[in-house]
Amino acid sequence: MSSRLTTRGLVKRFGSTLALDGVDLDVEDGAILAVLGPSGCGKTTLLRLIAGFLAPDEGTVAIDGAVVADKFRSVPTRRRDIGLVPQEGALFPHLDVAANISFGLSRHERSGPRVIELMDLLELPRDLAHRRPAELSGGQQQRVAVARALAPNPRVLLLDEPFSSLDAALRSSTGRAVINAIRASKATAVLVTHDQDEALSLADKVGVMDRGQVIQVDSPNTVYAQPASPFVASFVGEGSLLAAQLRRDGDAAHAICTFGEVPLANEIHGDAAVVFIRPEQVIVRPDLAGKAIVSSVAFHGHDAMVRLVDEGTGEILSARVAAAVMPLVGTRMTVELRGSSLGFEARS
Amino acid sequence: MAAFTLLPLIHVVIYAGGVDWDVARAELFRPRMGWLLWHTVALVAGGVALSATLATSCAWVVERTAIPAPRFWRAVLVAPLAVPAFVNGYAWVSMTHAVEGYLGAVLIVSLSYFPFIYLPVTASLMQLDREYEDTAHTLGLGGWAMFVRVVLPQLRPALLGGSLLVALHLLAEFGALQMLRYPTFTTAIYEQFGTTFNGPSANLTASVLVLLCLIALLGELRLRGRVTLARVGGGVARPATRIDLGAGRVPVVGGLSLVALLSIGVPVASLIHWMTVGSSTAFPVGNLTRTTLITLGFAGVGAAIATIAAIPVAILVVRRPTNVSIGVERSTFIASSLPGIVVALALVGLVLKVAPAIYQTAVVLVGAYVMMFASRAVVGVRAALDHAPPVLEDVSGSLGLNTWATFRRVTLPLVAPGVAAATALVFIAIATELTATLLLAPIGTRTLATQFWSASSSMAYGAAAPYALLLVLLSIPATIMLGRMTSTPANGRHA
Repeated sequence: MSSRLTTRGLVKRFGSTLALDGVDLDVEDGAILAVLGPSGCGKTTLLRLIAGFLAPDEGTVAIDGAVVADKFRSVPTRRRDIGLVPQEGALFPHLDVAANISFGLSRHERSGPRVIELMDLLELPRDLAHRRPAELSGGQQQRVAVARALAPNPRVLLLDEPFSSLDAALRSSTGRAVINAIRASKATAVLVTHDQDEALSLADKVGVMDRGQVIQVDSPNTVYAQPASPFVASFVGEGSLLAAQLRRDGDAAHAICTFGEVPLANEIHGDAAVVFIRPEQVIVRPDLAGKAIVSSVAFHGHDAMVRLVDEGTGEILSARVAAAVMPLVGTRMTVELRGSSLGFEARS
Repeated sequence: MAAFTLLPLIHVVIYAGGVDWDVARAELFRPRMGWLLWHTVALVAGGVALSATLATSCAWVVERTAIPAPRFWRAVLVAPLAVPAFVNGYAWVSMTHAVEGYLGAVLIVSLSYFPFIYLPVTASLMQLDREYEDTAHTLGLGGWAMFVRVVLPQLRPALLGGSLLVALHLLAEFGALQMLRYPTFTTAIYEQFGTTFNGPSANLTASVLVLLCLIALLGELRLRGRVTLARVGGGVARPATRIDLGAGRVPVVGGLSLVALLSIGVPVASLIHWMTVGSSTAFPVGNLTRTTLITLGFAGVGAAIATIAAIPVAILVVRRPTNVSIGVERSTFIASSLPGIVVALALVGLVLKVAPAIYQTAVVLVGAYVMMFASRAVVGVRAALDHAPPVLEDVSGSLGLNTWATFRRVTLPLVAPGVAAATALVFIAIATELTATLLLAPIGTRTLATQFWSASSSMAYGAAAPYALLLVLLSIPATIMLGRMTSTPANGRHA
């Protein structure tokens, strides 16, 4: 499949701050890419460069193979054929739902069937057509914002944290409806978010960003199971990063850390490593002679997350336990590690 | 724009700097000057104190106690703004000469200007989180102690801002005080201008008056200090649990009624009286129509120019705040805090020096109006721009609209109501302006205010009545607008 959106070596500085530090991305025709990262990692800057609200200091943005921005010239936003869904929707407050959706259509198209098509596509009840934005719920506002962006059939749809202002229940239902609409209209989309669940559950590919760089771009499954760096591992999934020594035993290698020994799932060089232990791998048992002490317990209903501190090294390990066997803070535990873990070469 | 609006101040400073020191000393250290200073300061102190007391007690009673029809009282307590102070002075003095002198002057100017404090205090009370007051109750504070220790400190910014506005208006007040025969710097400057024209007396007195205005501005800044105003989020305001007054209800409602009677009842009754029974009452329809049209013409041109000049300033301040753009904005505020008489006097001096050809033309008068009222346009246009956040323009661009189409289809419809309201406020301020118009109007050009003035100051109270009525009718829309801005809790700020 052809690449619809391509960036190469994008660099953007704000004064002395390097917001983007050489970003390369490829989004295939019809694919949905989630750009995931903590706040301040440069993901919104990246979106604004693709949209054309900012111009790059270095590098290029290309849509359908044609360069729309480099350090010398930048095609204005209105000629890039993109759609934008900003945070909290930003519907035009002086226009009703139908007029918002048809805003980007030609005068002739505005009276056609397109508005109803899009309202149906986003599962918006037709009787909302003449409501004002202020009379809609947050989830409805976001759906209208997506309908408005999709109406002129843009080549690329850009979504900037579109669900972050919604509460948890609305977030997942709105997210699903929006993704279904994007797939049905065969649009190519870039979704910027800091929410791991959102990125993993909605997108075809996830690009993880940190400090202006894209660390890894892969399918959600791969990003979760085979993170490319300790940062990706801890940002995408829950778990603890622990320093470990390696013990090689023929082909197999074992990592020995404060809390015990665990087989490595991948091959790495050297003797020292950082291992990533998921809370599901940790089995704990109360033991008066144990060296791990419970420092906090967070109850989640179906289970509980227990934080353990090693008496000797002070290192911290998270463990998931069944709600029925929740320990008290201060309890001494022995720890057993199950399964295998990913290791990363220790940077010393 | 900054240089233009600051012209009067610059002129005053240059004049004061260049004047012969012996002449200045002879003028400034006359006993008459000290006497005027005492009169002016006493009036400002008494007027501000009475206005603040009236405004705060009325606002608290209306917002926090279980009086009947609070909405009605809210409207009634803003209504005095529809009667220009000089019309109010005329209404009283034409009924009884007992109001001449200090106490009468303090009473009447307070009745005219207390809404300038009432409005921001009411807005603050509406925004003030009730939980502070509830918490204070749980801590065992009773009514009065709670008001003094919890409510009053939080009202401080609103009280100070409103008091500053009243102080500046009192320093600038000419018509009402002249009518009540209470001399201050402003009335003295007018008389000196009448006898010595552009002489050193008037200009030196004006310098002292400017100094008093700057002291009031700085004093307010100083007292306000580092009070941080926590902005209340967009949540729905909780309906206040109002204090049950019990038997105290009768005197409280009686007090409110008295304020309403004195501030609205007396001027309205007086106007009706002079319209119906005044022996000199005449309806010169042709003259009335001509004067109204001239007034509307000046107000229209002045308001249009002030708004057009305000738009770039407001856009720059909101979208690209730099020291320069903020400085330009502030300069309009300083210019507007100068009394009309100072602006007019400075323009007379400047125009005679620089461009005598335009002296006594409409150009100078419109220029004075723009200097005096540009800040109101800037404030209004700024508030309007808050309704059009830049993200909407981004979205419009992403949907393929160019800059002009975005302006036409997004920005303009969103800001137009606010800009229109700002223009209307400036329009009405110009239409009822008296002092600068008296000094600068071209010979033979009469506005409603100056016609009213010439009739009422020659005791032709009946002849003045139709003009007074038209002035009041013109002021009503602005009063309603100000009242509305306050009753929507999101816009609690007033300039």
